[in-house]
Amino acid sequence: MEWAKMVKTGILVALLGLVLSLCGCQEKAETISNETAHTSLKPQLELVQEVALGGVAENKIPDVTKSSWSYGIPFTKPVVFPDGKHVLVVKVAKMTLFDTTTGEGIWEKATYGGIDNYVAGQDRLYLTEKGSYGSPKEHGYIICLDSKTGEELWKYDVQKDLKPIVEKYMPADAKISYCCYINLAQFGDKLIAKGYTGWNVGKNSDKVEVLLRLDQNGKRLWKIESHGYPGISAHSKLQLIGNKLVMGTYTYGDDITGPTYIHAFDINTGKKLWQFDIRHEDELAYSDATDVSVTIIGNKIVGVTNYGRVYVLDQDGKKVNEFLAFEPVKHNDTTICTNVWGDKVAGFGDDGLVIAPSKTVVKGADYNAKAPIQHPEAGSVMVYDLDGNLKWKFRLGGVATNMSVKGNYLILGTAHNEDTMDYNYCGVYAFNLTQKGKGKEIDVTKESALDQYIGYYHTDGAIIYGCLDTSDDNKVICATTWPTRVGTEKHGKHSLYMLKIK
Amino acid sequence: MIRYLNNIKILAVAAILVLFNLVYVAAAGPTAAAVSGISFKTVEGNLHWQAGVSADKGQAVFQLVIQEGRFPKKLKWSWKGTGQVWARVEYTDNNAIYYVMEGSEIPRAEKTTFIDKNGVPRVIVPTMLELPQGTVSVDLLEDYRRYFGKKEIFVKDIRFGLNAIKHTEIKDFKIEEFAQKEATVGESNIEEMKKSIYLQVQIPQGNKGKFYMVKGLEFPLQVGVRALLDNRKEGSLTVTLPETVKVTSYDKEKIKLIDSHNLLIPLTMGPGYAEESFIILAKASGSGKVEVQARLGNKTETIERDMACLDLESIRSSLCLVDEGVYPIQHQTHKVSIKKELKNYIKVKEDIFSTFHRLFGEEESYDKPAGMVCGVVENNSGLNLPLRLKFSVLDEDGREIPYFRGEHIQREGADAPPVPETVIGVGAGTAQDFKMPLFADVYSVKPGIYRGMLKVSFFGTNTNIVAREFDLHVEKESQIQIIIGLVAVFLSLVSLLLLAFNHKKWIGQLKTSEIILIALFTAAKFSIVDIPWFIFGDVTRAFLGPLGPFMHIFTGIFWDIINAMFLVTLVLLVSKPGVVIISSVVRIILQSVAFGTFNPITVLLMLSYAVLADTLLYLTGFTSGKRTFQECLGTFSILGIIFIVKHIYSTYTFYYIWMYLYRLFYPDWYINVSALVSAIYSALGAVLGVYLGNKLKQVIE
Repeated sequence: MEWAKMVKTGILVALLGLVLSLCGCQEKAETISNETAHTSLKPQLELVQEVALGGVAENKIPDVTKSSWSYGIPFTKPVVFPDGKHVLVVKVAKMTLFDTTTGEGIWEKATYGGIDNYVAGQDRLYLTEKGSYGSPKEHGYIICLDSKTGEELWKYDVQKDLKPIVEKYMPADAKISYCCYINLAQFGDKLIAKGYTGWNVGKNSDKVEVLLRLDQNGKRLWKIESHGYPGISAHSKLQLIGNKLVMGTYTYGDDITGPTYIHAFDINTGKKLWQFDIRHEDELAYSDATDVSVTIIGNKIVGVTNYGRVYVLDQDGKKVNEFLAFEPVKHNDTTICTNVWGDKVAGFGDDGLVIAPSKTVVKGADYNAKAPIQHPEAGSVMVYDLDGNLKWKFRLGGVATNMSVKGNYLILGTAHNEDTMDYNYCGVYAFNLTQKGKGKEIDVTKESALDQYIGYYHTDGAIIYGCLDTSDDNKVICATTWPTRVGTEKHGKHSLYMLKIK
Repeated sequence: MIRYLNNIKILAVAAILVLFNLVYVAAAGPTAAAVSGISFKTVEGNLHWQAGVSADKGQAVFQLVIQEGRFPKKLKWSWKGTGQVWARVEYTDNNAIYYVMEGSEIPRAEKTTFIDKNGVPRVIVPTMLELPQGTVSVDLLEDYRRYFGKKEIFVKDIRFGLNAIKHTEIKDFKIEEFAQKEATVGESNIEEMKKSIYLQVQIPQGNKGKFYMVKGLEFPLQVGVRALLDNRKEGSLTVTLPETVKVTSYDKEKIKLIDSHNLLIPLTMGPGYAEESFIILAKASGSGKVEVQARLGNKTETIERDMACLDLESIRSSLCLVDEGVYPIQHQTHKVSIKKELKNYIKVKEDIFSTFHRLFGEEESYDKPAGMVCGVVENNSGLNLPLRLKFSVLDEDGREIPYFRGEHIQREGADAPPVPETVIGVGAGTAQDFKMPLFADVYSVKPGIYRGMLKVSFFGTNTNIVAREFDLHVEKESQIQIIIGLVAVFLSLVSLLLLAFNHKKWIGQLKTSEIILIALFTAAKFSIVDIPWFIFGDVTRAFLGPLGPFMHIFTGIFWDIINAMFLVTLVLLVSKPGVVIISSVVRIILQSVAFGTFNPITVLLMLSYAVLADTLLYLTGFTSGKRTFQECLGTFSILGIIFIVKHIYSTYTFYYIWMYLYRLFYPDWYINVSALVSAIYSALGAVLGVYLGNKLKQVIE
């Protein structure tokens, strides 16, 4: 009997144990369950890794309601290698190379106090040391690194070329506005640099510039010096067509510093080849200033003024065509304008021009004033052919801070909506440029709209100017966000987003 | 008894264990597995979900019945077969992911288009992912983060689609984990985020905040509709204003007025994105409710909000205009700066081309602002104020002077350039700067003190909230003065150099009789012109009194007719280069000796006149021996032009240099009349000089 009792008790306990163990197993499976690997069935944006980049000091979090809020902040810049396999993230104190497939850090080194610009070759990285706001600096280096190891191969001090002309032209009572800002461009094995130092005497601005060509060992091959505006270049990128180095300039006003122009130099000798003057059009512009950004489309040079006039030139600087990409809207006697600046102009294929106009501005009102009426093209991206026909247009919601056109893709980095201060529009937009559009807006009723617009990835915080970079085929996209504030309300984190079009 | 106690022990142990298990499961809360309670409903097709679906042929779409307040996070299921098999997950922000079974035909993705809460048209392109056959598991929130971004979100719809060709099955579906509810967005945001019709109502126009109107004032109201539609659709927009509001003006072609405060606007929109906007003028006598409804096809969008009605005085008391004024601008090398130290003052610059334009009646082609109308508007009210700022310069009758404009010269086909004007939106409790360029027509604007009027009104109305009036000082700086002054200095220096290097040559080639003739003529001219002027000049001025400005009509007989006549006579008698310059030097010496006046400026000016005349006489051949002083029209014309040029030049340089040196002011018309009289008289004197010279020549011969 005792034996039977023991057996009964044992069976009962075993059954209860089984129930308990089943419950336990179920919980364990939940915690260790892994997602099934999946494959993309069409080109679409995918986050590979998000890396937190650490805190930002409170005094470095800009208030976006203030004018020129992004000036002087040492934003973290991502430098994507041409093949897209690595990204170098450069902060003020250190720089880290990440693998864009795994998100793992490969090496980390102390940096040079932040960078202004960069060029990433497959084996070499060229960085330009950050210039200084409001004060002079002793050196301004272009640094060449071995991209595999981060080892410094050489550095070239642009201040050696800039300093003598600053001393020659800058009056003793002048105050430096920006010292030794360096721009870089690489065309095959040809490395071009442009150094700039600006100053103010009272309310007068002046500048000196040097345009340099360096060889692969950091030896200077030629140099061009310039004093005053419009000078060598401003917001325009340095572009190459044939053996001609082409760029656009900026003027405070035709009567103040003379008309702006597009000009070309022989990349082998530095000799100036031609200049195409552009007359300011006051009825189109918000202010007297004219900026012209240059891009190369097929065998044409295309210059776009900040107020929307597009000039199509041949390689010898002769005008082939001109058209207006956008124009002010008249409301009674008030003129509502928008602008396009610097790197929001790009070309693709033989006939495609992409521009992304910024915010609405009303003539007579302060640049940062809220306009009661919105310009219809502000905050959008527009694609034109070189005959001036609008192919398609897409409203972004946020302001485009970065634009990259490479391969078949158009990538845009955006910040908040400057009208509503809504941060829901911050992120990365991707478009397929091989799809042709018709009409003014993307026709969402047509299937092709889905092929044209690849998608949008939302980031936690604004992608600031110059904080997005892509691989040569635009399929690897790295963007860094930086916290900003609207008054006392803080938005966003300091992070690196590694995205891929898969 | 022992057996009974043993059984009790066993039951107690079992009860404790079962209780423990129940507590354990319950403690796991919402994240615990929910094996039971999963159900799918068939929303399309002829198959049914019964713990999964298994079919050799057939088509269906199944929708998971999501329990209220429980949001799936991790899913697991098993699938295999041939045909089209997919799972679609839709999130609360309308993003969607299609999980497609390996080997399946790719489904046609349903795009989502909508207008967001800010009126921005959005396109959602679903993500398409392939999963292998067999058992699969997905983390829906992790996938959202991977493909759409970092946002607080939850899943609102899960569907399975199946179109079997051969045996196909989906089974063992489980929700392995639910999302924490607090990590999701509220229901209210869901509806707001997805719209195919977007309505924007601005009362008054330009105000994106609370609706308001001002009692008794006619205001523009704006109603805008944006639509993203798949097809062309017809509908209407109804605007119901409070009974206290009366519509005063509207576009009768587009809008139908039902009664004084209700409007109906027929709409036809789509396909794709379209937007339309309507402006209505209305007057309010009190507050009330505003209802605007847009209907397109079977879709409607409604805005219903209270509208306040304020007194104009309350707005006036809460709006401040600070530091307003007109400031001159300085065009420096690389910047245009506003000179804040000179308030309500501008300087208009006139260049030499302006004078030519004015003389020949051409239109102005390009100019730059003479000043900036600046200030700060402070809004201390709790409402957003869309404002219009307008600056005008008024004449004595209070009419706007159109020569003060707000823009550069406009191109052909444009209307008359407007006065300085801008619009700004000043948010509740904020301040806003303004800066409007002020252009002044250099041809028409005269120097003096004007009445400037800065008005702040509501955008779209003419009722002033604030109006400030102040004196505007306008100074006119003629660059012709500077240019003529510089020419005079240049010619004076040239004459000095010519005299220094050539006086020996010139005097050497003159006969004694010719030198005596020069001295004699200069002395005669001096005694007829200079001595009477020295003695009677001030008396004449006093005698003419208010006719002083026309004095030149009388004095010009001496200064221009006699001067020119004697000079031409002298040159006719002694036709050699340098004669006019030598005569001028003799005259200067005589003035110094007789009156004790030796003013270097006068000396240089007189020498420059002499150089000009001598050069022109030489170039036209009178002193180079190529042309004789025949009494014919050709000679008279050439000599007339030479002396007109010389006397116009001397008149302008005289006045301008004197104005510059002694800070004097002569009105333009006075200088111009003097120049005109001088030109006519000198031409006459030159002709008379030919006759006199020829007579004297005959006497000498």
